[in-house]
Amino acid sequence: MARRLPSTAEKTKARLAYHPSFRTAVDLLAKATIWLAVAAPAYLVAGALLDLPTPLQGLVRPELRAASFLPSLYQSAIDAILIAGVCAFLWWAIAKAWRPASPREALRFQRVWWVLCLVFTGLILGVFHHVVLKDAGPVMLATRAIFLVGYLLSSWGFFLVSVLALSPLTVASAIPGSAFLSRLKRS
Amino acid sequence: MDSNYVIGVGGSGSKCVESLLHVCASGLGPDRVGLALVDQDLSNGNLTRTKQLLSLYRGLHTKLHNGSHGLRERTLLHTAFTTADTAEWSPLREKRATLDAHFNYKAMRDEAKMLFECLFERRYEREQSLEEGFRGRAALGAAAMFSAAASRSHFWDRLFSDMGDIAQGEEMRVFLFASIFGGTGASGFPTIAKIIKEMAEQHAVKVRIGGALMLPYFEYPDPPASVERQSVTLSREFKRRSRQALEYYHDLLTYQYPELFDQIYLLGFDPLLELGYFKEGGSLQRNKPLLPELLGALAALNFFRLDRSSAPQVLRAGRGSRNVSWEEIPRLDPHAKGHDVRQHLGRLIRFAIAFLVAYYPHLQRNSYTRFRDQSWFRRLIADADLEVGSDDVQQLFSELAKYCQELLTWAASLKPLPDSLTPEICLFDLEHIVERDSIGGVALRLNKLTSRQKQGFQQAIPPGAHHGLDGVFEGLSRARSDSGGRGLGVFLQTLFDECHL
Repeated sequence: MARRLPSTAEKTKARLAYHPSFRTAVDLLAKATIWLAVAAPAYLVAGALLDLPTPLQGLVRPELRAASFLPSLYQSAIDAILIAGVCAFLWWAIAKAWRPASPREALRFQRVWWVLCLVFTGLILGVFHHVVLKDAGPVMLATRAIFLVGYLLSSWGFFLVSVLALSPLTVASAIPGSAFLSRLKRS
Repeated sequence: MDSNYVIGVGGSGSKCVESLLHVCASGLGPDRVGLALVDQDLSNGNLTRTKQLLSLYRGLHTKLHNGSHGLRERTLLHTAFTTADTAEWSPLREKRATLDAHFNYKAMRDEAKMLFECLFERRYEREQSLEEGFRGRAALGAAAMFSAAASRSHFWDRLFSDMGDIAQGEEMRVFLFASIFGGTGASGFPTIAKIIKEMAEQHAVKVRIGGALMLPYFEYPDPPASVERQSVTLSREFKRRSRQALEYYHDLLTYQYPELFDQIYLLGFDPLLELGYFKEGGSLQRNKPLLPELLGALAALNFFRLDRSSAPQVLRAGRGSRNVSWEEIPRLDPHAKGHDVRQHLGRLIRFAIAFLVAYYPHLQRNSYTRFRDQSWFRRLIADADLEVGSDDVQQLFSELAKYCQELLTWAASLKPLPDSLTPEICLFDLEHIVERDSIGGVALRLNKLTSRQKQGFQQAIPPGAHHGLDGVFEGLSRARSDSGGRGLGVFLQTLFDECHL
């Protein structure tokens, strides 16, 4: 008896269900959601309640460095996306040029990833200090510190999402929290 | 299920078994094969190497298919090889055996003595020590084999111990490897077939016997002047001896025992492959693996896959072009998509390289903890509840690494010495991981993963380039732990699968 060949729809369904990229995408989406769930509210609350200028605005428009200006939530979000975009592009370029071929190379890759994260954090802190915290009084410093935390979380969130979306799971294990989540899942 | 047996007779027979072990390790073999190695020279280097490989293979098979570490079916090291108490059998087992001593020449009657003296020359046949084999003298081997067959060693009863369990309608298949130009192989080929036929008749079991008969396929320089020519085998005599033996076999298989063999595969190589050195028998005789032995191994697997209704045949290996590429190598499954032998052996070779250069160095007891947080480790090793630092896992890794080294040395050795007359053999390109000496000896260079090795991994199975070690690593990082197998089998199975062509 002749064997029935699967239809195109069946083949597509099977490919989707079993294709590693599909499984990876689902995995990444879950991770991205967790990070956004943590970072986005902090960013939004800080930006809306404190109504403070964001670093990028301060960099490109020095007149806005005065404490009295009113940045919008929308502008803050654009800043974060811009920074995350630049980092994501850098990451993509590195990942394209250097694909780890062994666990040892992946280890080196992860170390570079951490260095990039540190550089990125340093940049944010530097800009923030230069633009926002300079000459501020203690009360202003405290309120703006809260904003800083929210901003960092938010930017890291975007950064991580972009990294996870662009990079395969070879380095996903280096993402903070993934080991913890994995253990949680197993337990 | 049919019972399959393989018997390697003499040095070339042992080397064919060596190739068969590697081919079966790639997943091409049947579920189970009974194995025996027949050689008068038990210290022979070829025999010793095959025995060591067999021992390594069986140890790994037991651990990876029957123990706490499980691999999937029809995959890496799939075939189970069984033996009698020992794998090897020697016709004359006495210490310092000579033909005179074995047949008790001194106690013979005068008429028998005269006949014996007519048949066998005194110095180089009757009084020659047989500890290093029959030295290419088939008549000597035939006398010893017939004598041993008459006394019916228990070895054969133990090897075929399950003969009585073969159900009605099933059959036993036995495949013999032997060279026609040597002493042990040429004499053992028909004699052992007769022993098996007789045993099968006693047990009323249907038996099919096939054999790969190796015609001359290699040559070596003449020995130095200090070695007595009469006591060694000269390769320039191979063709004459082969002709004599073929005439004898023709008579035997046409008139005396036309049903002795169901399938005979004649294999050789023209021009003869140059070994580049001369070694007498004994442990020094460790000849490098050669292509016709791989063809012999494929012939055995072809025989085991034959339809029960197939008619007896004699097949002769040949090639359509000067150089040997995968297109010249017979396929086992004519309906397979692509060249099944290339795909299986190619995957095994790539697995061995990937394991040795990219993973094994980082799975040592003192280094694996650095990689515990990596995705592949968590999914394929930690999720399988495997303690990498434990003695049994480290032992298994070490044995597997040793097997991979043996495999790569074997594959690299198939490439002959560069010579204007010798055809190129383009099956494996392993120049990026080996160094060769002037006589074709191969040493692996796998200390560090270099960009040359990465590129070489992609081009190891010509023609063309395949996905690299980065692709394999990415595949491992994406793989799921439910890919089949248990324990260490999860990781090894996934790595094996990811190394596909």
